[in-house]
Amino acid sequence: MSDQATEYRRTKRLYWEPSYVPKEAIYPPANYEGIYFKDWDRWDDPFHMSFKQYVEIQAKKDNGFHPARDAFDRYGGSDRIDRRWLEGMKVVYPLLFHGEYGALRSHARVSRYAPAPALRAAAFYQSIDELRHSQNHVYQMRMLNKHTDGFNNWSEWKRYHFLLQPGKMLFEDIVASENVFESVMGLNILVELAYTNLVFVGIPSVGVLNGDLAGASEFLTTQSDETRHMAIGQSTLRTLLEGDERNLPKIQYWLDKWFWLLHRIIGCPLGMVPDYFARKKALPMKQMFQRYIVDNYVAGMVEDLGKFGLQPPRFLDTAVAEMEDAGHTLFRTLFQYKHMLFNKMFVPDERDMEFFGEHYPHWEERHGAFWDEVRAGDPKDLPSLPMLCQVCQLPCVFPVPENPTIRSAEWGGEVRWFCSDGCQWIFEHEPERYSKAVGLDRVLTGKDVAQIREHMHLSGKLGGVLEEC
Amino acid sequence: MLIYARAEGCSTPALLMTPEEEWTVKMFSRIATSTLRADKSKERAPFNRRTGERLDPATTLGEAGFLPYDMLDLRYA
Repeated sequence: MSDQATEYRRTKRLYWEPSYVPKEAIYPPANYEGIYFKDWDRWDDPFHMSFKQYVEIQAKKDNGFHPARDAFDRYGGSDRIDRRWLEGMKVVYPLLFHGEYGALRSHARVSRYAPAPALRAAAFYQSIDELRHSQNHVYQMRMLNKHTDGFNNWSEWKRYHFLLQPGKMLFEDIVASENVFESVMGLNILVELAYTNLVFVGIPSVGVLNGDLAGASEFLTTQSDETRHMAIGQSTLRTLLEGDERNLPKIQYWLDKWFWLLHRIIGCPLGMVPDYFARKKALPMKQMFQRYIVDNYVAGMVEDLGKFGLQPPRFLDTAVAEMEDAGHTLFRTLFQYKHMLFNKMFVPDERDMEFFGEHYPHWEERHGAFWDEVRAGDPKDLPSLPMLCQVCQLPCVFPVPENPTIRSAEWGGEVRWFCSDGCQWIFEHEPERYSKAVGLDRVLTGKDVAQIREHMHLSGKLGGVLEEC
Repeated sequence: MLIYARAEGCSTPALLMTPEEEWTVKMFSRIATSTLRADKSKERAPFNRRTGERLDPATTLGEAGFLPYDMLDLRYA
């Protein structure tokens, strides 16, 4: 037997049959309730990696990335990053930190409570990966903080600022999933298999055009671990679907639910990055979504697992249709709140509108008038936070603010509002779970702009308009 | 009271407002239209968004049957 095989066998067998407590006391079945499987020892880690190998590989990655990032900054690379792109990264990095740190906590829990020994080992490695990713995002922010404002107080903003609440909600929700397989489904299948290629490959390809070579390196070293995380998800999903057909309804529900939440909280806001914050553009977000999410992820999954009865995500068609407007809608909504942001916003220029006209045929009709009014001198600033969705915590403005698909439910003697059929559907399935959140729009009712800024820990001249655009 | 308000065709999202119970629907509609920065040249009628019921402008908000966090929806007349 090879050294690698021997080490993997030891890793996989790194447990024992307890003699003085029942096994259920160590791995309580409540952590995988409703999931049927006969022999958890059969669950396999396709990477067959030992801890020793893992440490060696990760050390090489960090030894390659950090010197490159230091050199980029030392020779003036950060000063050459386009200003617009930096404004976008002020939002992206804290959001990514939320994701990575949430994934660290989530997989630490999977590594403790999953019933399959090999899954526990793989989740342990993944939790360390996620810590590395979180720290690298912080390194990036620390580097950029020397060159611009708006990165300095990210740890407070991720707790108090309305812009980062949806990301916080999303990843806390994954961490808090009672069933460890729901965490694996939400994180490894939907976040990592579906979205990381878009986030860590598609977005940096645009970042490079706008001078952000260090950001691209950082995203790519992150993505180098995602292949392993995707494999954990795929292996788990296939094993459970093959193992017992009774698992299908629960897995289909998790797929439908997390697909919608990821679309809403990651996919829609991300559209602002390639379409707006990138002065030099490549693919429009609409096409990126089609390529990475629909053609690669959904089509691949259905081809692979459709034979077990797994259907495409329930709200796939709605999500595809929304990509026509989502990024544009959110960008102008944020423009209305530029006096309450830690990054700066700007008015699209002629080249932007040419790009929109070419790739988004309805842009002028649906969004053009708003910007015409801004150019005519209307600042569009609003006095209080927008209605936030009970489930995703994003503003209820989709697909376009002039005619949003707002839905409602009565719960606990008051009215809860949702931005979409998808969020309402999730609430109806798990009302106890999703009724707990109180949106910042409700928390800050009756406060003026200065008080809202104070609550969100905004100081000085943060926010406003990026003048040189 | 805590009531959201929005106006059809307006780019401003629904905003949470704090009107008094004794205000009439008409008075609140006028104030909400202004706060939402909606185009005042277009006539709008007040609805309860949740129930779909058209509201009598002369009714007070206290009598209009709003639950906490309900929404006054100003739709094109």
